[in-house]
Amino acid sequence: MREHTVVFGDDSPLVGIITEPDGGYQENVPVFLFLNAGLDHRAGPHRLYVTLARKLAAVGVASLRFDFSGIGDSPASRSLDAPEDRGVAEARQAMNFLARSVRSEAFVPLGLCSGANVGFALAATDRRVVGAVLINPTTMPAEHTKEQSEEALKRAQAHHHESRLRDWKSWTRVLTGRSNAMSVYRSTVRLAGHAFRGQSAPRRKDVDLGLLPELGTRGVELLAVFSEGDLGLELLTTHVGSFENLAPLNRFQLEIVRDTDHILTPLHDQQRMEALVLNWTAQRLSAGLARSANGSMPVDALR
Amino acid sequence: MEPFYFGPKDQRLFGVYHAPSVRRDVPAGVVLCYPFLQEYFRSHRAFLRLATQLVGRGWHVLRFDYSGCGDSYGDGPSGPEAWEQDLRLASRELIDRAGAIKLAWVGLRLGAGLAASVAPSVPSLSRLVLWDPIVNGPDYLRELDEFRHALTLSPGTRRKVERFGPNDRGVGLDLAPEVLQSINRLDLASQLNACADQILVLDTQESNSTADYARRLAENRNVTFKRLSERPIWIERKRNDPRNIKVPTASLQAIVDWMSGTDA
Repeated sequence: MREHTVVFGDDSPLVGIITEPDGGYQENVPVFLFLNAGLDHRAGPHRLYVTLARKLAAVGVASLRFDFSGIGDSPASRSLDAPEDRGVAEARQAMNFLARSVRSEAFVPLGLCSGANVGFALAATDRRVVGAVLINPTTMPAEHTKEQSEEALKRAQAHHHESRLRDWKSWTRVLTGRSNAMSVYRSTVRLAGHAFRGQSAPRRKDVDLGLLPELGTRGVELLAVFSEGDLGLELLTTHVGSFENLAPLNRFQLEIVRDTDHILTPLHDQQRMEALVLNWTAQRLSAGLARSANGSMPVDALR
Repeated sequence: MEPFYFGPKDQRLFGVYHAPSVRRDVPAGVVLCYPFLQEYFRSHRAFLRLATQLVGRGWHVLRFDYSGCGDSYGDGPSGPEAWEQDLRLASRELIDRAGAIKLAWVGLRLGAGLAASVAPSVPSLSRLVLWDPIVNGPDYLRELDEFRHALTLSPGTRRKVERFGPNDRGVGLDLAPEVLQSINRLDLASQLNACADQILVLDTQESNSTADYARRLAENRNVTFKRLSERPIWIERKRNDPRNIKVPTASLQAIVDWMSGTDA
């Protein structure tokens, strides 16, 4: 594994790090693009992107993690575009840069939260994307009404309340006189306020879950990972009803992680995420590539 | 601004060099020492802003990630002893790169504790800023435990942290026992060996231990103690809330002014 810094970008300099496998770039193996999660810099929450980039390199997959303008080490752009639009444009600049510098023609965006939204929008609009890993995206279908979005947010909040009220430790403290029911209630409401602070029902229409079938037809493999009770999962549920309705989408893999938070704080969940991405890359992406690119995928290199 | 890797091939460190935008008579460089663990992520923007302000006062600046942290090589936090080596390496890199004659360090929290511990072995240090330093390792570990019960972890998540991760302190990073033991040994108050031509101890949290440390250090060192009140940027509540990425402007101004010799 070897890492080196790069600076690229059409409008303003974007700072990134390329992680190369020991054997260098392999033909027909896509390059992963790690997309900023919210305002966290390119290392990702809990350094998740760094760890994943190096584990992917160990199985022969190169990657670029970089900062969108105004995040991490990349200076702010003068662009007046909305952050999400700018994110998609800058992810395209990253792909253009890699196409020129390492002649890569196939890409897999990986993002958490807003990074996942950008990854989904990129997959929907750029045919160089052959797969995407979406961790807790907050995507919604174009026809979604504001009321439906708010309903999803309420369900996510209700899940949060329920999980706290099911906490036996809290009630043990009540029963042993070390706490009282009112303080548990207050704590639950206060913590929910923190958990969902700044999170409102999504309004954007251009990250359209309704595109899932079309992406599948195009051969784009999607791995979506949700924390149980996360807003994005509730939005997906609102859209598809039962998860069984996703079964026909055979290029869409859904994974739900129980008892975790939005950014996968438990180490156990981070390790599970790494395993999911590595397995998915080996099992699903190779087949998709073989169909969409010239020549065959060196599957063994990914296993 | 120039991002780059430096150091031994198998243990390379990520750094960002900021060239001065104005010229000084005597070239001088400052190495910024990040705090650790989740505090590193929270303070990244503040350090970038601090670097930008310092280059405007003629300083060469190097920000860098400790081994096992950020973009530097290594699988996880490797502990204060390794980080001390990293700080020396970064200082040499800056001196070589900038031709700096004068060298300064600015450290925040455990980064300040680290800087204070290493300072006695660097005779050329002209200025040392200890910004809300971690004076006592065990106190810091207690803070980490409190963080485990942080506001965003649900009971189920917390149980998972406790059940599955022997090295999981609920901060999202693997903390090996030897790292914790190293941190546990940190005790600036009993060592009092931080040294530089001039030292600034900046306390933004009305910490009695910081004030006491500064007072005792001042008995033998040229110490300026400055106290102001500002929200602790290193405490995380909700990651996607821009309000928590706030830059501590008053602290940065105090540091830049003191570094420039223009503080009141």
